[in-house]
Amino acid sequence: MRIKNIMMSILLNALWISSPLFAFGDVNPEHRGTTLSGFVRDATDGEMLIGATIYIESLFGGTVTNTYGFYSLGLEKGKYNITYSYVGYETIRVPLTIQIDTVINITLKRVETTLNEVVVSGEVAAERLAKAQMSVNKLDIKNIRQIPALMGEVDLIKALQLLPGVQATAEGGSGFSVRGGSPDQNLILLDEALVYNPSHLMGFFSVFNNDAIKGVELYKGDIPAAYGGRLSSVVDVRMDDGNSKQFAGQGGIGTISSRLMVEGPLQKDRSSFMLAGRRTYADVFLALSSNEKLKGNSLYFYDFNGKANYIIDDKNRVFLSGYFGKDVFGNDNFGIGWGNQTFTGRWNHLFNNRLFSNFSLIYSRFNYNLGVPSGQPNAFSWVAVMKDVSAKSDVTWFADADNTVRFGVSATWHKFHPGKASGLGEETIFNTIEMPQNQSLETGIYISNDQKIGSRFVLKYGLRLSMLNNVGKGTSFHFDDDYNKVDSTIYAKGKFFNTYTGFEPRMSVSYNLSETNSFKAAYTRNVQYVHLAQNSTAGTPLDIWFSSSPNVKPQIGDQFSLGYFHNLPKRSIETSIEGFYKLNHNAIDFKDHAELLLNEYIEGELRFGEAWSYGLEVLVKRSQGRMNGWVSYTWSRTFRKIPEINDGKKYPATYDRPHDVSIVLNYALSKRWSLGANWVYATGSAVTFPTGRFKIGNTIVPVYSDRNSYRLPDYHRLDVSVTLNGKEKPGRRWKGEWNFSAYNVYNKKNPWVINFVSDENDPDITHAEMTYLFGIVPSITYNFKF
Amino acid sequence: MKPMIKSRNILILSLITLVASSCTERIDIKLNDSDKRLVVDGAITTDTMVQRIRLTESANYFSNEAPPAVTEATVYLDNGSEKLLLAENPAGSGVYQTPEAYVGQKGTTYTLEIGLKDKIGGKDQFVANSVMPETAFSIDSISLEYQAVWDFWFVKLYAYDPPTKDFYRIDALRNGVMLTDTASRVQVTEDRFFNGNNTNGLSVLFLYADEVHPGDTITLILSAITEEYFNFFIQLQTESGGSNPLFSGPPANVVSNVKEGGLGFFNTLSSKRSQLVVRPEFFKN
Repeated sequence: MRIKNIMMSILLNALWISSPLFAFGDVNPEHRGTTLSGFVRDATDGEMLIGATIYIESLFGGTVTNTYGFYSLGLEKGKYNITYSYVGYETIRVPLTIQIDTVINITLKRVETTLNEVVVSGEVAAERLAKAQMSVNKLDIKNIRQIPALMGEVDLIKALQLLPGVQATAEGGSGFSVRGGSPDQNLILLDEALVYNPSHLMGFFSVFNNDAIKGVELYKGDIPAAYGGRLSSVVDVRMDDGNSKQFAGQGGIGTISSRLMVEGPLQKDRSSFMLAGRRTYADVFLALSSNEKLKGNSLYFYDFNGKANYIIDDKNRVFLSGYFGKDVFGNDNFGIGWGNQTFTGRWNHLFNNRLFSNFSLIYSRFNYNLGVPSGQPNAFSWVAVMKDVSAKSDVTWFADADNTVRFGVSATWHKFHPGKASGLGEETIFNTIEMPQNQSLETGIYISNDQKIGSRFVLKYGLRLSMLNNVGKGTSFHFDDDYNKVDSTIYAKGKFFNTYTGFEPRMSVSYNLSETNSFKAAYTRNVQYVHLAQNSTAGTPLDIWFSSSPNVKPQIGDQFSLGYFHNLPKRSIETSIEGFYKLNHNAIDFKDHAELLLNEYIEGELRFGEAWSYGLEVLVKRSQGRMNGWVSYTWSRTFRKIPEINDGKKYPATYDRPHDVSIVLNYALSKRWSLGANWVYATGSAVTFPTGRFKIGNTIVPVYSDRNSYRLPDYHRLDVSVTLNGKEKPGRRWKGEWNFSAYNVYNKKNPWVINFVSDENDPDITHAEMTYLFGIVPSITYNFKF
Repeated sequence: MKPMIKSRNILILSLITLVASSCTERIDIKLNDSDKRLVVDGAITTDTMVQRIRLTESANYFSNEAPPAVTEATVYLDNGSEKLLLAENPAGSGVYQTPEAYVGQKGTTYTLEIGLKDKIGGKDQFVANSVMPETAFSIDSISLEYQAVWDFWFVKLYAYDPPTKDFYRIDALRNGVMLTDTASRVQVTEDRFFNGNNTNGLSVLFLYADEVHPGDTITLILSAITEEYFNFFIQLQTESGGSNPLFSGPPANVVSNVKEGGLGFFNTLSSKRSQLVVRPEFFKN
């Protein structure tokens, strides 16, 4: 209990910082009505259901569970019919007479087969309409698994790239642009811990092992006040909590990797764990190769996810979760490795039925190293580490039936060590080159309220105040007007030498025309204090993150969105059309021929200007039934204008791809067979091509067009998959499933890059050459559950 | 376990597919026309020789012919105390040269003044200048080392780099014939990683296996260059060498030191040489 007391006092102290808000935390036992609260869980494995709907028929309203499966509703005393529902689960109706504060913990049963057309309670969709929150997409891991994947490797990020407003930055890559933003403007969270680089194997696969993941929510705009630090999006990935009822497991043997996840209760219904691992085995086959050059190579990645949680009592629950992943590529002459590590410790505490709180301690780290191993001539090593330690607390006050107040504080200590290269061995001729380390403290405090006004209006308004402090020990370089370094100032350890603050209003409104139609509008401002120095489109592991500093102002993003939402509840179809306009002040780009790696004066390579984008997104989605999936179409443009780039003229961003279509379909043929298909189409990315040339010695040198004034050919691709479920036998827990998939079925040669080269025999003859990555790629995976 | 065996075969197959399926092929691209500009390509070196400057015109990217020579221009080389008129030789070649046995002097600023007979891009006067580096470097020797994995030879350099901030260009000759005849084979380097050190056999260049035979004389030319030329050459290598989305930044024009809208570079090189004769025992083991 002492630890609990200490944690409690930390939390209370954290709340004190937000003392104007403290009144909300104050527990008033004499609230007029009563409270209905509780948790909603999965009946078979005890997993908390996020976003399950609690609907009160007589009030035409209700609430949804939060990320910990908790809900709370203020109600007048009386008789109610309460409906608990969640997509893919059977709906439960509970008639209830409420006299005093009531706790109802509900378990919902999964609908085992998708063959029968489920009668969907319209409330599920209606509730979503009635929320003011817009520009959000939610994907359950079950839906993600149904999407055909490259090499059969189910991939959350590739699934996100199929949503409206989301664009892959390069074929097969893990980088993505949301509503025209840069890839570094996405806040990618795994159980609240920031993932700096979500890619494995040059981005062809992501760090998210589907066995360990529960689901993901993507905020493309109207980002809730609880999140801060990135301009474009929040990708909130949640790990599975682990089965609290019985020991179970699942896994798969795939074309490039194998996976295994085990989960089970530590104490039944009280505590559970989940452990998942995955490893690729390309190198195993390299070793079998007769080619000596291939034999000595290692090329693999692996990752581990682990999570445990413990229900201390009705009011307290703790979670521990972690991720560890690594990529290794190398041979005797050269090696490169990189990886992410995250750790999250969380404590849920219910002050009372209306006041839910969570306190988190988070650690995340991304590192890479490359070099020539010692013993070799020119042996050297190069290491870089980016590290975050954060503490935050979030409180939700379910004030009454019409108001839900959220507030919290957070603090993150960034420690970036962007690169150090040194020779190995005593006789090395290499000097050590080290980019200065930098530290900064990013803090935030927020409050927001979801407020219902009458039966038609729902408002969500909030404010986030953020701050960045650059903290010594650090070196700040001073640059002249031509970005040449003139001198520097060195700050002592612990010295706060520069401060930026951000004022970030977030607001949205929903106007419900009817139970099936609503209009929504939102305006949000976000401030970003850490940025990525990455110049290529596909992205490599050699990421350099740097924080805002005396030379680098924070990036500020303003976004306006407007949407119309229409549901066809009987067919469980949701449709939406959303428009947005986004303006990014202090947008960062890099000067021509920028040198980003191992450059102490990297801030001198940055150029600042404006970026803006606008667009329209249309989505038709059916989340359940025999045939489900979505069709999305996005029209959008995104531009940048930076005085020192492209002679100061505006230019389209590389990921300006005006037309973008995604069709994702799943069809259950029979009890055992199901089909999946997706088709994507996008205007080719904007590229710079040479228009002229000159010759130096024997070498032809290009003279370029304006930046990004040409286009790659349009991109399109069809992927399909067939899944065969094993025969079910009563009494047997083992369930097997074969998945056959093919990427790029009609073998479209989509250019990855177009290069201009001289003919081998006559340098004066030049050709355009395109490189494409994937023809048709078949794969097979065996998945199992027990 | 039968299905497992099958899936392993498919697995190997698809791995091969991944590796092999990255393909390159020619495609037709329509490109706009570009404006013509003057191109300067030439250098003054500390070697005692005829020093040459070539003037050409830029062309459309797919022009597919040798660049047109700029002839009958008036080209002066000014070393600060003397202005030398360079003669076009042979006439009509666009190559302008110094008299025999011209030697560049360290620390001297050379200025090239070009007057054109016909305007290019609306201009007929162009100027470029470059300082002959004073870098006090020295070469001790070179050696060759065969790399079995890659099937090529490393040229290893034993030289002294002074503590100043220096930049180098490295070329190689075999029996007097230039091997580093394209930008991609030349190496340019800054000394940030070995500043003030002996290079101790640093691998500075590679030669293909079929370029090295017993009895051949391999000559390495180490030339101190200006920072401006170093940047120019790095950009030239980058922009002429092809790109890929993983590692390349956006394409950008190569920055010239020819004022008034010219392209190319007028360069000054302070060179030293070292050579060796390839012996049969190099090929053992």
